[in-house]
Amino acid sequence: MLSRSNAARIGFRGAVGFAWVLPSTVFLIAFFVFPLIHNGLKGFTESGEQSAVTSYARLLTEAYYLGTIVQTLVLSLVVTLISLLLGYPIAYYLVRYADKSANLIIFLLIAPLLTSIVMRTFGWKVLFARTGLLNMLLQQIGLTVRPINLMNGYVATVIGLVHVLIPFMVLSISSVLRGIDRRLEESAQILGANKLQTFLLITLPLSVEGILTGSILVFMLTNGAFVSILLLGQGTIHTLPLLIYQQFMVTRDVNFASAMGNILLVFALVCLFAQLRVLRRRN
Amino acid sequence: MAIGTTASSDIAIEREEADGGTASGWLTLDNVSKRFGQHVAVHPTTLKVAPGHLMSLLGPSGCGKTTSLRMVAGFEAPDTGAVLIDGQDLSSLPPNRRKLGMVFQNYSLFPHLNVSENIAFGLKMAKRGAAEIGERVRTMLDLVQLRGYDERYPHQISGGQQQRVALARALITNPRVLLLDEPLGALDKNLRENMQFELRSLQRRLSITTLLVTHDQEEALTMSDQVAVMNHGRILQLGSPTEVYERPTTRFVAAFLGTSNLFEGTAIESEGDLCRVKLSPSVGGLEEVVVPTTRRVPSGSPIAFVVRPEKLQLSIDNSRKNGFAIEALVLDCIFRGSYYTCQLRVTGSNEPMIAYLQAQEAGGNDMPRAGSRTYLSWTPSSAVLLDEDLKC
Repeated sequence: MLSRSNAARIGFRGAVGFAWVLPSTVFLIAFFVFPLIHNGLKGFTESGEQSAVTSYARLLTEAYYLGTIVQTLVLSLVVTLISLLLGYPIAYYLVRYADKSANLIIFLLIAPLLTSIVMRTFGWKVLFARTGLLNMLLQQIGLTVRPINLMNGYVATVIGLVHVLIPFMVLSISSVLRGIDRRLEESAQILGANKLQTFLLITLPLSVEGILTGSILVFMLTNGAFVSILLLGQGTIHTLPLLIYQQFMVTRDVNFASAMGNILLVFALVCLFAQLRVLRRRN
Repeated sequence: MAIGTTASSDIAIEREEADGGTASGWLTLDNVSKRFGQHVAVHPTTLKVAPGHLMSLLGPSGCGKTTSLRMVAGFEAPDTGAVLIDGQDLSSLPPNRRKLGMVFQNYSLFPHLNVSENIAFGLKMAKRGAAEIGERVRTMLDLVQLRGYDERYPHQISGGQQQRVALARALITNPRVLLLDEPLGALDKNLRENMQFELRSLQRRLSITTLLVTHDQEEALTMSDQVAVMNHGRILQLGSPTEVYERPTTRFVAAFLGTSNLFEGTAIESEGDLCRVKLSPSVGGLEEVVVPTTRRVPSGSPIAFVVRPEKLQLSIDNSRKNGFAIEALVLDCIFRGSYYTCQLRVTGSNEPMIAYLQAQEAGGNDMPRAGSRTYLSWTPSSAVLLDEDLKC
């Protein structure tokens, strides 16, 4: 009797617990899982006038679209590398040398994230313009006579993206650096390693997890970046998000747009899988 | 848990060759001091460690022992004075060029390198050939009894094994001086006692000058040739373990090394190597005692002396000759296996007295009962006069 009533109670509790998660489950299924599946299948249906070839085949065979995919990945790679090269020293300084200024540095780092993306991007446009602040400065100090075309698109886009994504890199690396026992570095030094050897043989290998986590984050976020590329790229950069926007809003080829979206989704999943592997190795 | 003898003699030979056959390894701290902002970590201190000797710096945390060690290592620069090895001033050398070995409290093994890579690190930095490195790593693995563990990573071996790896890593470069920073602090009690013997016999066999930092008095007493007891950035007493334990000169040393019962009073007169003392306040009905002294004590000067708990006897009657006895009330007794620890209340002392009694029979039948009246007695020679109070 007792065990039966217990079982009933547990069953009842389970039911109550399920009731709590029911709304969010229904919401996610209706607005996330279903559209995802629907979207995934859409790419296999007819696309535009080319009825025989499915969207995926077109994306992966036509030079223009392949080029776009490559350009998306290359841009992400460039932004990731620059963020890493700039971010590692910042993270190192933040953890090792900054005591009182640490909060200020973190604030400055995440400030771009607190600013509206449109404001931020137009800010860069103002700075980079032919008669903008940067060109005026360069002319004043005599580095150039005529204004340089800083708004050529690619450079401006990379700068804009690095600016907003670098905090992800710095915070990922600094959290791992902070966890490194300083006595490991001291051990290496006592054993005869100089500062550079200590960094290359001890500190850097031990911070690889932070580097990977930060890189994966920046890579994924650049893959999906849209406004910065649209406004700063001046039409010179064609990445998948821009193409999706075109297909969806201009060409109105929804099937093709969703196929591209799914390609991006696959990249994101690969990145997430890589990140999972990194985290698992840590444990 | 014995150390492989054949392997260690190889190492000893190698050391002689490395040193060119001359005995060396004098470590000198010459008037070194260090302050961090307003806080003085180490007052000007001079300390000499003879070649092949093990000196421990013993004291509570924050006493300056670790700062002293870090100055020898080169991680902290002394504000005054210098650290010398065989007369050579190390001040201008960074840690990586001081040719020292060091074992840290948590061993600090490189987590991304396996056991043999960890041990080989120092030789790699010295740019030795792969063949030599491989051979010496094997010798070291034998020496610390970790043959077959070379492929394991630090997190895959036990604490005791990690400790041995750390030791092997520190010794493989034939360092001039070995620095040990609480090397056994992270081990559990049994393993710690084993490692004390092991570390000590290894250190003796390699006859390597060693500076050990510890807050564990037992570790310092069992392992050292010399103990320097530190507090508030100063060395309070320096001597062999028995000297420091048997003849503490200050209240701090007496209390920090083992347990002691403190008595205070004033000198009445000193004759030869004995001094008559009037206890103030009188303790347990006793007014006057005689304590041994190594020098003349002026009449009327304040006196403090201690009696170790194992030197106190408990007896029912007051008939002991050649000694002093005070009345006491047993507060509590604890069975400790081979002996009892008793707390006793005596008049005139706020702190309870502590006495150790040998257990005579199994089962604890001879344990004094709490609440019973007894006499505590000691012979004059077992009292230790503290110099500290004489100076002021």
